[in-house]
Amino acid sequence: MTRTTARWTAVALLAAAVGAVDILLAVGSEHTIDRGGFLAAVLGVGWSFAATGVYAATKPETRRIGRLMMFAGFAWLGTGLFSSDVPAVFISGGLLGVLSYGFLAHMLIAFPDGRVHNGLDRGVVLAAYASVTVGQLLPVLFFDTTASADCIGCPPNPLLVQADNGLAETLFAAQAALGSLVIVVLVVALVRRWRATPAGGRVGLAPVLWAGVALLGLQAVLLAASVIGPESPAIATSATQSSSVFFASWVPFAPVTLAFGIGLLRGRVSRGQAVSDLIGRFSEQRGPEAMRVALARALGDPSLALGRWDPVAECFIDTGGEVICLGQDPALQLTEVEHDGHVIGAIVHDAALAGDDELIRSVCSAAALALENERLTSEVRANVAELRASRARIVAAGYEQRKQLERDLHDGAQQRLMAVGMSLQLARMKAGAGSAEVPELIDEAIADLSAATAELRELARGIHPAVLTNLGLGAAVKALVARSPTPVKLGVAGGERLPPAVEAAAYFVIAEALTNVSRYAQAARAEVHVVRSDGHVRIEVIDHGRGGADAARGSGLRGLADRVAALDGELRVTSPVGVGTTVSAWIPCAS
Amino acid sequence: MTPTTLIVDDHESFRAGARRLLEAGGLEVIGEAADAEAAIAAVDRLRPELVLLDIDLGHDSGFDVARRLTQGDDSPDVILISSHEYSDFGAEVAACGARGFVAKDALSVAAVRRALG
Repeated sequence: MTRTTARWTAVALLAAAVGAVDILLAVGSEHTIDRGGFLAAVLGVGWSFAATGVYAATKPETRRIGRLMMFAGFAWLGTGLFSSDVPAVFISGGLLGVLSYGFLAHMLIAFPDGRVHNGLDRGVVLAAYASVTVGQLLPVLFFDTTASADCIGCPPNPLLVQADNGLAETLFAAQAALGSLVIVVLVVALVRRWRATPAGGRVGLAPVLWAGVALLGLQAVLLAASVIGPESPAIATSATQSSSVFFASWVPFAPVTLAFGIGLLRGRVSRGQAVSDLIGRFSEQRGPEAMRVALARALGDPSLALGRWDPVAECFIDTGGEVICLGQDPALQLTEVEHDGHVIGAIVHDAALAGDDELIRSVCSAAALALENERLTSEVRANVAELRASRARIVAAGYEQRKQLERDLHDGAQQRLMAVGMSLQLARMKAGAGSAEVPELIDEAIADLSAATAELRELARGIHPAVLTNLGLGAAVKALVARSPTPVKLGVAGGERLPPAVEAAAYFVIAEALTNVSRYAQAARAEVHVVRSDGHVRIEVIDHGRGGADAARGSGLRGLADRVAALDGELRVTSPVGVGTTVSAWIPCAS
Repeated sequence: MTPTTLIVDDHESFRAGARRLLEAGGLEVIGEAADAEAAIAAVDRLRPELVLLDIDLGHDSGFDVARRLTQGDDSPDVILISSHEYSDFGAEVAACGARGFVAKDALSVAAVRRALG
């Protein structure tokens, strides 16, 4: 058994014990008239309130209201002490009994979360408690129990200051009047509360309010009757009354406990239902407006607005894209939605719902999960879109490169080889005639062949240089630098060879960057650095020429950026006008 | 038979080489052109009997030029040449009005005469 359960079991046992004491006292009492009826009422109401209260107190969301119910129950059980013939115990019973009305008033106002929310409500509760504490004690100070017609055979009053039953009766009447007033205002407050509660919150509230209002109404009537009528009030609510009136005033209490129990249960069930419904809807992922509608339905608040926190604009943006303005309408309240310690959104709802903390909290958790889910989904969608675009660009670039290759081959090496063919044909024609042109023609053929070979070599290098495959990045870059028209200062880190894809990407970045330097930068010198550290390689090509290079314009660099990104790396071009250009790339390599 | 010949090709080195080869073989080369415009202008001006026309003229299409050149009554014979093979072009060669096709690497006067039929 957990500590909590043990604690509440002890409380339940205490209630049983007090009840047992009440039974004993009633059996042995000299002044209790209708023992059976009295006990039935005291134990019936006292135990049912205590039991419902203990049950409610074990659930976190109903703990406060549960405690109030328990106190009311124990106060009722305390009324049984009135049967005792021991003066101190007897008078305690008289004082405890009316306390239960204070607790009841508090319970009705504070249902279902056990908190009192506004000034009027607080005032009503304070007035109720005042009338059952001070309002009861004051008359008791002057009430001589041995000399009253309403308390035959009662033991003496140990709190008696001065025996003045006339004054006591006046004070009791005043208490009754105050009590009636409190009841009227309480009923008004409850009706207002009912009207202000949106549909979703009324489900749990209904049984409690109707039972409570009926009970209070009856009490008000009885109080009024006792003030005007023959019997004296206050302790008149105890055992010295005749049974019929007594029962009439107490019987409605039992249904109230039932009503509270049902009200709490319905509220919980309805909330539980609302939230699980909500989670079900969120998992369908139909967008923020669908979420807003689902939330509104779950909370029973059609005016509800759902907003997401925009860190750039530093405000909440609602599902329509508008900024949510705070604090203008007092009937509305903003509750923030948190996830992982950050505020990610907010719900703007009817302020009347703010009382139902647990509902708001559970709805906010569901909303937080859904908002976070939606954010992640959009992020994934954006990433997928970017990946698709990048892939398409890479494929298109490959296409273009091959077309260019075909052109280069056609216009270059192929033409030369055809020229060789024609020279040799001519040479053969002239050779038969012993012409002196033959050696010249053959020389031309040799020159053309040489040029063709060189062009083919160059082309092959453009596709993938042999030196890169055979000797690695360092040697290939040195060769690039040697062929560069612009003088280049080179720094290449040594070490093991990198994976082929990384070497190729790095090489072509440097090749393209150096080509751009020669073509556009108008720089006297350039620098190339290749540095390896920490599982990645960093390449930099720096010149101090014209600057103003636009990475988006050069499709060569853009294609390389895609290639580098395909290796999980990054390519960046910084080129302030007049200062120079830096092409830097960062590629991870599993080394 | 020595028809006056115009050579149309976008590569200067080929035109020079072809000219030498064909002149050595007995054709009279009266002009050269590098693109469609120049070819049509040269045909108008020089009125060659034979035009050796490269199919791939960079931005221009040899087939288009062939069609234009063979429209009129007094049009020259057009023989298409290319560094690609005949099978790469299919029916286009016949459809454009040319008399025949010679691959560049097989270019010779004998081949030209054979193409003329």
